[in-house]
Amino acid sequence: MKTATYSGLTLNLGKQIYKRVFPARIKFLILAFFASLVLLPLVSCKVKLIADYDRHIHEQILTVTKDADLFYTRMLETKTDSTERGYNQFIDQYVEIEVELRSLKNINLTRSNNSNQDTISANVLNQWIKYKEQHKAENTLSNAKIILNREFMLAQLRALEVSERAKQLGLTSIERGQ
Amino acid sequence: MAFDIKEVIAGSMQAIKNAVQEDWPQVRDIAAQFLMMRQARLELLASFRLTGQITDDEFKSFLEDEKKVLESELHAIAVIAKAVAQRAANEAIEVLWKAVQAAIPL
Repeated sequence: MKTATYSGLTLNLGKQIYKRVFPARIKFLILAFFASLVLLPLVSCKVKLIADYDRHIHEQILTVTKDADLFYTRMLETKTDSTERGYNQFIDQYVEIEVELRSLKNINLTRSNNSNQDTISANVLNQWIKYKEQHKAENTLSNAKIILNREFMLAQLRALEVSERAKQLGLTSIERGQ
Repeated sequence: MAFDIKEVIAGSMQAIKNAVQEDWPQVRDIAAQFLMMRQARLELLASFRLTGQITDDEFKSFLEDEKKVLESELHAIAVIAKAVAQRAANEAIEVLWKAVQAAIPL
């Protein structure tokens, strides 16, 4: 009996001490502290599925698209014979645009979460090189082939441009400043 | 301030819904533009073949290019889908974060 009473006393005393040392407000703060330890990592790190939008890269894509369009449109204005449409007449522009496209491909390779755009950049460059090599082999291009080369190049570049522009959709309302 | 988890979850769901609803028309428009341009390109290609302005081999070569264009367009659409998903997830997290900040004065 004594033991039970002592035990009861100890328990009651323990509860009283606990209530004095840890009143409800303190208990709430301790709970809140541990809850924040669990929740903070969740809310402080953001979901990241794509690379950040880059205005300079976007402008570079728009510039090279215009350059490719200009290149083929000017070529259409030349005579169809090999003196005016020979590959040698266009080497400089072919090389300049190829370097621009390779630069875009390399920049995209260095960006994290960017696998989709990596593939598009590679497709754009490969297609440009393919058309360049065909021109080199034939040493002239018909009007029909110039028009088709232009259309297919612009289609690839459009996909590249959309893939950069779309990255702006990844921003939240707060990040967009709305 | 009380932390009502049901309210927070409802707010997060609404944030996801709003983000997807706002961005969906842009996704749809871009996909429609890709389709329209594909149609115009294929019509042009067919007309050049029918009028003999390009050979059979050239026609086949451009069809191969068309496959690559389609591949690039699908990758571009994948970027859009990821962007929308990223925004929706982060909007939901912001709602949760605000609720936590309001409940716990840090």
